[in-house]
Amino acid sequence: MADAGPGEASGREPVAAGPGRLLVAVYGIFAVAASSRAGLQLLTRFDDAPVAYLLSALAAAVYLVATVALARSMRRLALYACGFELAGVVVVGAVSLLLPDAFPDQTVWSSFGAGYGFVPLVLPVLGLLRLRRTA
Amino acid sequence: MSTPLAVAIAVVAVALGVACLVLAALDRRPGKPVLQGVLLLQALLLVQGAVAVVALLRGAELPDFGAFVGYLVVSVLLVPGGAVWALEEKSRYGTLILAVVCLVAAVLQQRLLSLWTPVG
Repeated sequence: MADAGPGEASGREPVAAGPGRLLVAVYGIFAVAASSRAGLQLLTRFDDAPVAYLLSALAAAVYLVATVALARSMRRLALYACGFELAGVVVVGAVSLLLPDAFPDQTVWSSFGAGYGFVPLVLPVLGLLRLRRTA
Repeated sequence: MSTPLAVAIAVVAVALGVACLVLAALDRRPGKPVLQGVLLLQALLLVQGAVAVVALLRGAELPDFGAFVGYLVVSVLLVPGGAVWALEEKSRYGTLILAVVCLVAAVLQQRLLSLWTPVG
């Protein structure tokens, strides 16, 4: 899979055009929300649940990467970021339901993102669909 | 943080959000009235931000200070950033982005109000 990156030398439709631009907007809002919350958790309550908060911070960082990669048509990076998010929300969602004690505090991915209106589950799927559509 | 101002912001923001949803459904781009409404919304958001900062500087203490400041910063930057991103898109999706941005602005005021429980 070639990665044309910014500038789209290959002449393909930019990822962030039309519906893709709306997707990037929602991704951006979610990235800001997730990273603000994670930053605050790490700064103020890190000792309460270090694993959950570090996981939240990792998730937030990947959302930021995905937002930038989708916005700038960095397709391979966007593919990895969206794929990682989908895997994360599925794995952590399943583990949080099967072993509730493993996650004493909520992360964005707990219960398949139910605490965030399942946006964490839907976004990477839409991102991957958009990448396939414009490939 | 002024409650009447927060309510006014939420009303303007929801009205703009609904107008943009309708325009997007009609495959139209936001016209001058909507853009003027967005400017008004941002002016109100800036006033609200200033009111909150002044109250904090005068010694108002919040139980969840960090979260409040985070929401406050985002509430002031969201509309300009979102509007620029939206207006560069010359299709109905640009109008839809503006709708999302306005509705999120309304939600942020609600979050700010719920965090605004100053002591002293």
